[in-house]
Amino acid sequence: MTKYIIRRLIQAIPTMFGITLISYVIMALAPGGPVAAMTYNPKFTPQERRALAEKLGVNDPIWVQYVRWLIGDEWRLIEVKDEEGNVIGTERGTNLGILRGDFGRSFTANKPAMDVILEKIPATLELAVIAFMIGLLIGIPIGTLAAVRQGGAFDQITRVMAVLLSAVPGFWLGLILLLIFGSWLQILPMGNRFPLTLTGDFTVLDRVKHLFLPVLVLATGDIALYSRFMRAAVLDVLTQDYIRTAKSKGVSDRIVWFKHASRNALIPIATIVGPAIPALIGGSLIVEQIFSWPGMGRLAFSAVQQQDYPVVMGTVLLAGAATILGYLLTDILYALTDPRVRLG
Amino acid sequence: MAADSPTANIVNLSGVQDLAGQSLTQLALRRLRRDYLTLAAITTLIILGVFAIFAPIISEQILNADYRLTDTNARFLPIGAPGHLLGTDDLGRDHLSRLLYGGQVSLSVAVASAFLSLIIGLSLGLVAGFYQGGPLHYIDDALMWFISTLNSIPSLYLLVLIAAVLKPTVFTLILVLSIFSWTFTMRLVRGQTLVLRESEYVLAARAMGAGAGRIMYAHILPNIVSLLTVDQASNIGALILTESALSFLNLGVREPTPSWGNMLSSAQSFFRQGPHLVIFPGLLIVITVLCLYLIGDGLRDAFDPQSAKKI
Repeated sequence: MTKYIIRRLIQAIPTMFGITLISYVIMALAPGGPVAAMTYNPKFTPQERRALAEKLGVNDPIWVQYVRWLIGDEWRLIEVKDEEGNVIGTERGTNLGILRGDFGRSFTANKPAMDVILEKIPATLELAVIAFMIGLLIGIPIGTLAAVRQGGAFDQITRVMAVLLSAVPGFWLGLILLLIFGSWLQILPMGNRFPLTLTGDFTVLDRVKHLFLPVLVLATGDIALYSRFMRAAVLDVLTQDYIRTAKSKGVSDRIVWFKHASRNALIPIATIVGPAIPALIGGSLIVEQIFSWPGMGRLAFSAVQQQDYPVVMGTVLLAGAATILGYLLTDILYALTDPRVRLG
Repeated sequence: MAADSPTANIVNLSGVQDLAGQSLTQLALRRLRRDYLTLAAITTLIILGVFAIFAPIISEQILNADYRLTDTNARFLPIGAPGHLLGTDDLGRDHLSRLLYGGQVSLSVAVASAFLSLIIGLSLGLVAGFYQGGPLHYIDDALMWFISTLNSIPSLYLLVLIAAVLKPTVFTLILVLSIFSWTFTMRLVRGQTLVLRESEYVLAARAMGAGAGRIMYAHILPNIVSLLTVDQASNIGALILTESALSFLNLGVREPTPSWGNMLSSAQSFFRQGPHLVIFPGLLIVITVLCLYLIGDGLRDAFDPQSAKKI
């Protein structure tokens, strides 16, 4: 098992490398580039601008810049020039490179980009984990019931609901819920993670109220998807011989469905963990935007708009790493739950 | 038990004989004719399409409204206000005519990007599948590496990044959306090509001296096309959802050009004054996407040779 995990992690290296390459190329295509974004302030003189460009090395070929971004530039000597352009000395670069965890300093927050991002991760995790759990907790029983009563009214209704919900854009669902519960009924807050009070005090109920709508929006798609997935899995299991054996022994329907069938049907559910992670990360970008949730998605979006490249790159790479780990986790879970799977 | 009676068997047998000599498409059309849900979805979509295509004529001749005309005295008129059937938005523009034009933009962007991603995915999938494992396998290796990398970045992050860099116009938006969606088509085509290139008729073509290009174009492609056309309906639906999300984030179609997504973006700030502005654009997105998904499902069933559906 350990051997398999290590091999999978090694296999992930080219993919991770590809993510850095793709996102770096996209960023390099941006009009103006980082110097324009950093020196947007009109107080900068052309000399200062040139010195900054020199320091960042933006005049070098793009692949040189890319390598420096990966491995850092503290080994590079940069010429320091006076106002007439004469070289008056040299200094070393300060960037350690992303391979050593240095994503550079955020242009807007004036601290390391990684710190800015790490601050926001708990909020996104809270949202995504709760939504995922609720998706499973509601989706699995619905799917099981729909399967054991295949073709019945419950099956038909949930089928129609699942198709309908897959056609509803998450952001619109969020807006409608805000309109109903926030604006008309005024029983739930319009956004944010905590109530804004002078003292900063809040109760658990406040937290739940703030969580309710964003989690609902994020979980709705999951519930629809997982219930369909579970239904297919249960239907597959119900035709197995051991189910017939259990029934012929006189085991009650309830026990057969929820103990014999449901447990084995859960095995394929392990495969949805992987795809769920990018879906939740992507979905939280929109949900956080609508509900002013101070998480990573909202940060990524505002960083893109403010051209805060170090933060943008950091969030994209983190999201990519989380996705890769998610797929690895899927395979491991699959092997753990299904004794027939051998990791080779 | 009517089904067990001898006459029922005869009827059934004659039905089977009826199917002989019918092409896959003819059989599919016969199945579709009985599938009322799919037919209803097709009808709804055609109506929506007609409204979108004739948006200029409808809004000028019938509604007497200009979708660009702002009027500060007529902001947030409710539904049913005189001269504005569905009221007006935050700038006093007629909501209904903006919905019509928005539909035109949303639908055409989605259709165009589905077409573009189909072409990219089809040609790359054919080439990758055909050369997989052979002397030119590095084409396939490189493409698969690129795709697995692309799919490891949550698509919305990637889209936001690209859209922000490209400063969206309708044209770049189409480009961005197809960059995001071609990978699905490509993998589908690649998988089919892998199967078909081992088939006997491809072997026969090879024996008669057909080159790689001819085998791909004349022998493999025609057998993938029907599978792909069926897939396009749900593709367009998914693209409408993505486009509206991007436009909602102001990274897609930009004001003053209306699209269903960016109309919701501006409505977000005016819950109190104009709740109707939030409802209609979203409702139209849901109806359109739902129809496309239903059509996709219906077509898939109809074109499935093993379909259990009664003919």
